[in-house]
Amino acid sequence: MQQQHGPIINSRKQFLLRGSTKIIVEFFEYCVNSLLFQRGLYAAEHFKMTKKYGLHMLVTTDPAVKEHMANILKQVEEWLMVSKVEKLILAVKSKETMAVLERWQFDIRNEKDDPSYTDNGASPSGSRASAPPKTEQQIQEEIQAIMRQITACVTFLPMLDGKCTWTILCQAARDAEVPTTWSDADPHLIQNPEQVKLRSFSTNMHRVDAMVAYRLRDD
Amino acid sequence: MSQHTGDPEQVRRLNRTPFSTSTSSLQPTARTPFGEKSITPVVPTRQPITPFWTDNTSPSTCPAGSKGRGVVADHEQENGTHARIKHQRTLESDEVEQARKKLKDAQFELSTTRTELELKIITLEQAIRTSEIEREKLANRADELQSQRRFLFEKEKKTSAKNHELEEQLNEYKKTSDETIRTLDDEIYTLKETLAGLTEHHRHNESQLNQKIQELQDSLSYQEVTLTQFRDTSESQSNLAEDKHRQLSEALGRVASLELENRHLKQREQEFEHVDWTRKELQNQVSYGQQLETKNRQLIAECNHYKDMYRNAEVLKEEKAALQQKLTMLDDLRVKYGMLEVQNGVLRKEKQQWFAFLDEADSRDFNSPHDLAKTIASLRREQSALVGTNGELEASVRSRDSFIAQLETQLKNLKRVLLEQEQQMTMLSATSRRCEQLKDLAIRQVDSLKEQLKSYDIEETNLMGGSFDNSKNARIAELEKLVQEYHTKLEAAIATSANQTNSSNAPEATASAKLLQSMADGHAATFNQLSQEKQKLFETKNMLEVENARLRTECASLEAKVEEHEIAIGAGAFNPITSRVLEIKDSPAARHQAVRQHMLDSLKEENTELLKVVAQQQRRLDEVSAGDGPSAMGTDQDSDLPATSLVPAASFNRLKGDYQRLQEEINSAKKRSDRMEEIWGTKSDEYLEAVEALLGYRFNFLDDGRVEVVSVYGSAEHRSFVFSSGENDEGTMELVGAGSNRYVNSHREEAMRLIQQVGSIPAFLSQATLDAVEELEQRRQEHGSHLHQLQADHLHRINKRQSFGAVDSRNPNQVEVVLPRSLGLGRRDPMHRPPSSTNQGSSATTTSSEEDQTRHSDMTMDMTMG
Repeated sequence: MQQQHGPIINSRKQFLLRGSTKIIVEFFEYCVNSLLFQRGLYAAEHFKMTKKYGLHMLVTTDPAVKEHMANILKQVEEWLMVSKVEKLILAVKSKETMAVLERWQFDIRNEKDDPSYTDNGASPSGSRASAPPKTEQQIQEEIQAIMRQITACVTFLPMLDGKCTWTILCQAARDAEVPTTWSDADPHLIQNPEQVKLRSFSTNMHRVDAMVAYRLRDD
Repeated sequence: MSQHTGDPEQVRRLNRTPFSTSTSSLQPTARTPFGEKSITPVVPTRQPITPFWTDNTSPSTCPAGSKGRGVVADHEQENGTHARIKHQRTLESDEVEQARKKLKDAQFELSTTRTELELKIITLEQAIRTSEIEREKLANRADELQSQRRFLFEKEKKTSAKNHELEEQLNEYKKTSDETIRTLDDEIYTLKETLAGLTEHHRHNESQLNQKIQELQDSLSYQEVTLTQFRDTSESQSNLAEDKHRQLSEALGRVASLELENRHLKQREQEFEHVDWTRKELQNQVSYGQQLETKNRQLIAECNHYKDMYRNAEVLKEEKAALQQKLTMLDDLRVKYGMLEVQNGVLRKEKQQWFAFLDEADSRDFNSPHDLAKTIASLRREQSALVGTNGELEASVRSRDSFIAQLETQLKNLKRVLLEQEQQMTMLSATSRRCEQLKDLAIRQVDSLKEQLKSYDIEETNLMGGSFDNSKNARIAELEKLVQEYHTKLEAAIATSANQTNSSNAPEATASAKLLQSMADGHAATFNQLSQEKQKLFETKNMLEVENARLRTECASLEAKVEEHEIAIGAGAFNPITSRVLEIKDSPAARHQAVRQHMLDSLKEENTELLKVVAQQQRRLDEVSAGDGPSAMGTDQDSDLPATSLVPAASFNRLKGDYQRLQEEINSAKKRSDRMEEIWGTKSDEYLEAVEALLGYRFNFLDDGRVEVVSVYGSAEHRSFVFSSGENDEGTMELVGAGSNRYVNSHREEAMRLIQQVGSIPAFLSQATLDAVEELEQRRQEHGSHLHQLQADHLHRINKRQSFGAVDSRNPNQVEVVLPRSLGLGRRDPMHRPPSSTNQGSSATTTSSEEDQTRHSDMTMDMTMG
C-alpha cells in the first residue's frame, strides 16, 4: 500500500506545484504589465483593459513586449517547476544614465522545502500540514491586495524623470540550468536606496513576498 | 504579771498562755537550690498546753479558801468538773484537730505559694538577666549597625560623588564627542560644499571645455574649410604663378629673342626705323616683367601669410593638446570626485554606525564608533554597577534599619514585660509577706494551743491524780507524733516539690536562655551567611550586568548589521556562492544598451577617423609650409588627397545607424499613432453605440460634413433626418433632409413647432422617437409578434453596448435649423450603415437625388436659441 501511496503523493505534489507555478507566473505577468503601465514605461495606448483578480488590469498590446514577456515567463515557469527560482526582479533604469531607479522584487519561497516556514507566523510546519489548503478564491484575494498595494505605491514613489527602460532579472540557484538565451547579469544594485515591503501571498506550495526599492533623490 | 509573781499555778498558767514569747516561731534552716534562704517551719517541742479558758473560766481561778466545803458537794462537783473537763478536752482535741488541719492546710498553701513565688521570682530574675544581656547585645548590635550605617553612608556619599564625577566625565565625553561630531559634520558639510563646488566647477569647466572643444572643433572645421579654400586658392595661385612663370619665361625668351633681334638690329644699325618700336616693346616687356615680379612678391607675401596661418594652426593644435590635458585633469577630478563620494559614503556609514551605537540622533563620537561605543558601554557598565552597588547598600541599610527597628520593638516589648513582671513580683511579694504573717500567726496560735494543751495535761495530772487518762495522753502523744510525722513528711514533700519545681523550672529557664542565645547566635550566623551570599550575589549581578551590557552592545551592533544587510538585500545584493542573477539577453534594457554602445562605438570610430584626417591635413600643411618656393608648391599640387579622407566611412556608418534608429523611432511613432487611431475608432464606435442605445438614434457622419440621424425604430420605413452645419460653421445645425417623404411629412408639424418655435432639435428628435414608439405599439397590437421581434432585436443590441461618457463638441444652445419647404424626401435605408465614409457621403447625396436638391431650397428657417 505504501508503495502505491508514494507515486500518488508525488503526482499530487507535482500537480500542486504545477498549479502554484501557473498562479505565480500569471501573477508576475499581470504584475509586470501593471507596473509597465503604472510607471509610464510605455504609453497608455499600448495597453488594454482586462478583468483579472476582480480588478481591471491593464495588459500590453505591443506584440514585441508580449513575445518578450512570454519568453521570460516560459523560462521562469520551467525554473519554478524545479524550484530553482529565488527572486524575480523588475528593474527600471534610466535611459540616459542607465542607473537603476526602481527595483520591484518578488521573493519566491517553496514552502514545502522550507522547514522554518510558518503559515501564520506562529506555528511550525507541522501545523501547516494540518491547516486546510488555500482555495483559489483566497489566493486571488491575496493577489488582489498586492495589486492594489502596487497601484497605491505609485503615490509615494518618485517621479520617473526622463526616458526609462526596464529589464527582468531572475535570481536563481547556482545549479540551475541556463539556456543560451539567458546570461549572467549585473544584480542592478540601487544607489542610495529606500525600500518598502509590500504584502505577500502564498499558494499551497509557494510563498511570494513583494518589495520595492527605489532610488532616493540626491537632494 | 506582777499580781501572780508568787503563785506557781499562776506562773504555770502564765507559762501556758497561747502567745508565750518563749516559743520560737520560724527559723531559717536551709537554703533553696537557687541560693535563697528558705523558711522552714520549725515544729516546737512539746510544751505544757494551757487551756484557753485559764484566764477567766478555769477552776484554778477558784479561791483556795473554798476547798474545804462539803465532801458530797465536792464529789459531785468533782464529777461534774471531770465531765466538764472531759467534755472540754474532747472539744479541745477536736479544735486542736481542726486547728492542726487548718495549720496543715495553711502550711501547705503557704509552701505552695512560697514555692510558686520563688519560682516566679527566679524566672523573673532570670528573664531580667537575659533581657539585660539581650539589651546589652542589642545595644552593641545597634552600635555596630550605627557604625556600619555611618560607613555605608560615607561609602554611598563616595559612590554618589564618584557617580557624579562619572556623569560629569560622561557629559564631558558626550560634549567632546558632540563637538567632534559637530566638527565632523562641519567637515562633512564643508567637504560636501567643496564637493559640490568641485562638481560645479568641474561641470563648469567641463561645459567650458566642451564649449571650447566645440568652438575649437568648429574653428578647426572652419580652419579646415578655410584651409581647403586656401589650398584651392593656393593651388589656383600656384597655377597662376606657374602660368605667370611660364609667361615670364616666355617673355624672357622673347626678351632674349628680342635682344638677339636687337643685336641683329644693332648689327644692322641701319634699320633705325625699328629701334623706337623695339624700345617701346622692350619697355613694355620690362614693365610686364616688373608686374610679374610684383605679383611674385605678392604671392610670396601670401605664402608668408599662409605660413602664419600654419603657425596659428599649430597654436590651435597646442591649445587642443592643452584642452585634452585639461580633459585628463577633469577625468582625474572625476576620479577624485568618486573618491570623495566613497569617503562621504564611508563617513555616512560611520555616522549611521554611530547613530546605531548612540541612542540620540544628535550624539557624536570619537575616533571610531567602536572606541566610543566601548567607552560608553564601559562607563555605562560602571555606572550601572555603581548604581547596583548603591542600591544594594541602600537595601542592606534599609534591611538593617528594619532589623534595628525590630530589635528596638522587641526591646520595648521585653521592657514592658519586665515591668509587668516586676509589678507582678511586687504584688506577689506583698501577698507572700501577708502569707508569711498569716503563717507566723498560725504558728503562734498552734504553739499557744500546744502550750495550753500541755498546761491542761499538767493540770489534769496534778489535779485529777489517778483519774488521769493515760490512754488519752498516749493518744494525744500519738497524734502529736503523727502531726510531727506529717510535718516532716510535709517538709520532705515541700523540699522534694521545691527540688522538683526547681529541677522542672531550671530546664525551662535554661531552654529559654538557650533559645534566646541561639536566636542571637543564629541571627548573627545567618546575618553573616546572608551578607556573604549577598556579596556573592552582588558580584554575580555585576558580572551579569556587565555581560548584559556587552550583549546589548553586541545585539545593537548585530541589529545594525542586520539592518545594513536588509538594506543591501533590498538594494539587490545577493550571495554569489549560492545564487546567480540571470537576465534574458534580448531585454529592452539590453537592447537600449546595445544601441547606445553601438552609437558610442561608431562615434569613437568616427572620431578616430576624423582625427586621422586632421592629422593628415596638418601633415600636408606642414609639408606645404616646409616647402619653399614654387617648386615645393608644385610638388604639393601633384599629390591629390583621397576622397575618403574628407568624409570618413565611420561618419557615414554612424549617420546610417542614426538614420536606422530614427527610422525605428518613426516606426514606433507610427505604430503609436496607428494604435491611437484604432483606439479612437473603437471608442467612437462605442460612443455611437452608446448614443444609439440611449437616445434611439444612430449617427452617420457623412463626408460632406452632414450628419444623418437614423431612428432605430422602424428600419423598414427609412426613418432618418439629415442635419448639416449652419452658415459659417458657427456651431449651429440645420435640418436639411430626411430618409423618406412620408416620414418627414408625418413630422412636419412637430418640426415646425419644436425646431422653429421652441428651437430644440433634441425635443424634435424625442418627439419623433415617441411617435415611432407609439406607432410601433399600435402595430404590435395589430400584428402582435412583429413588435416583439423588433423589441427583442433592440434589446439584444442594447445588451451588447456599453455606457460611455457623453462628448459635447458643440454648444447645443446655439442651433440654427433650416427646414425644407417641401418635405418630399428620397428613400434610403436608415438602418443600413454605409460601409465607408466616402460611399456613405455619396449615397447620402445620390440617394436623395432630386428631392433632396429641391428640399434644400424649399424651406429655410433660421432659428437661434437664446
